[in-house]
Amino acid sequence: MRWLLWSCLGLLACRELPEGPTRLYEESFEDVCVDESTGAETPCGWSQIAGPEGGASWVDTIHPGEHGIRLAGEGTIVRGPAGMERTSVLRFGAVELYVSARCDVGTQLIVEAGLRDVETGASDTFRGRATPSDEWGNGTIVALVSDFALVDGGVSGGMFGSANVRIDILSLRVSGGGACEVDHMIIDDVGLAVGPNPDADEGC
Amino acid sequence: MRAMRWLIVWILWIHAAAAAAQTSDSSFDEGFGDDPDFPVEAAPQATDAETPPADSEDEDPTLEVVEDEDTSWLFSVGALVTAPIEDDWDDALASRGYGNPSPSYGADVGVLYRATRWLNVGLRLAARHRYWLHWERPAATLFGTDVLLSLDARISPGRVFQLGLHASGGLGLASVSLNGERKLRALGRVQVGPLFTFKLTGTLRAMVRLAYDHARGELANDLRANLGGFTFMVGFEVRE
Repeated sequence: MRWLLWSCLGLLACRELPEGPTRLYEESFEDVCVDESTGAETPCGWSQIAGPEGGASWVDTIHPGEHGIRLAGEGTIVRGPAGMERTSVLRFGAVELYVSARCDVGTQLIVEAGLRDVETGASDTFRGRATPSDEWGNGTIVALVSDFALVDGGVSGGMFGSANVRIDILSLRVSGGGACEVDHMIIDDVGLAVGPNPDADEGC
Repeated sequence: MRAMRWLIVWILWIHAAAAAAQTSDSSFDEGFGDDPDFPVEAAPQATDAETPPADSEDEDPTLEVVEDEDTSWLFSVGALVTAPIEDDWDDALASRGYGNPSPSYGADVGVLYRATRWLNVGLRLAARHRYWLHWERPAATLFGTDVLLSLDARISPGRVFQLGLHASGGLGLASVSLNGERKLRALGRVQVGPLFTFKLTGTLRAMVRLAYDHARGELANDLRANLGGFTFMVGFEVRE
C-alpha cells in the first residue's frame, strides 16, 4: 500500500511543468474581452483600426477551445497590445516571427512590430510578410526586418552587437483580397521563436 | 529503481506460482490437498490422475481446464500502452505551443467465447488517454473508448503456456479537450498481433498481448490524428 501511494505521488509530481521560455512577444488570442458598447467578443488589447466594418473577428480555429483572429478584406488592419514588459537581447539585429495561421490562396499576412531600444530609447519598425498555407498545419517562420540598418541609428544592434529591446506596438493586415486566420504568434530573437515545447515526459 | 525492484519481484513471483501450479496441478484443480484421510493414491479419481503417456492427452485428468469440454468463456482484464505516431493534428498543436503527444495509456476488458478448441471469439472494451502539455495552459487531452469484435487463435505447446494470434476491429468515440472545451469524434480501430499466456494457478492465467493498432481519423478541420501505433498489453485471464 505504501508503494502504491508513493507511486501516485510520483505521478502527480511528474505533471508539474517547469517554467517555459520567456518570449519577446507571444499572443494566443485566448483572453477575450467584451466590448461594452457592441457586446462583441474580441481578444483583449486588439482593435480594428482600418478596413471594412466587421473585417476583423474572433473565431474558432481547429477546435471550439482554440481561437484566433480573422482578417478579411483588403485594407483591414488590427493593432495589438505591447509586449508585456518583456525584453530580449537581439544577437543579429533582427527578430523572427513564428505564426500559426492559414490564409486563402493568394493572400498574405503582413506583420509590423515597433521595437524600442530600452537603453537608448531609439525605436524602429520591423516588417515581414507571411504566406501561410490555406490549411492548418505547421507554423510559418518569417523574418521581421527594418528599413534602417540597426547600427546606424535605428535600434542599435547588428551582428557585432546586441540590443535590449521591447515591442511597443504590433499590427496585422492582409494583402491579396482574401482572408487570413491567425491563431498563435511568437516573436523573438533569430532562432528562438520556434520551441522548445514541453516534452510529454517533462517534469519527471 | 524502486519500480524496477518491484517489477523483478513480480516476475519472480509469477514464475514461482507457475512452477507451483505445475507440480500441484491435479491436487488443486480436483480440490484435493495434502489431507492424510484422502491420499491422492487412495481416491478412485487418483488412479485416473496417474500421468498417462504424453500422447493420450484426452484421457489425462491432470490437464488444465482449457482442455475441459465445459470451458466456454474467457474473461480478461489488463493495462495497455501505445507508442504515439505523430500526424497533422500534432503538428497543428505544436505550432500553438503544445508539446509532443504522450503515449496512450489505458485499460482493456474482454469476454471471449471458446468456439473451437483453438479459436475464441468475443468482444473487447478499451479506454485510452493521451495528452499534449503546454507551458502556460492546461494540457490538451484525448480520451477514447472502443468496442471491438475480437478473434484469437491459440495453441498450447505445453500445459502452462499458450501462444496465439489475435485480431480485433471496431468503433470508438474520442473526446478531445482543449482549453476546457470538448469535441467528440467517432473513430474506427483495427489491431492485430501475437499473444502469450501462461497459467498462474487454477483457472487464472497471465496474458501479454502485442499489437499494431490502426486508428487514424480526422479530429477537426481536415486535421488527421493517428491514435494507433505499437501497443503492449499485460493482464490476466480467467476461464469459466
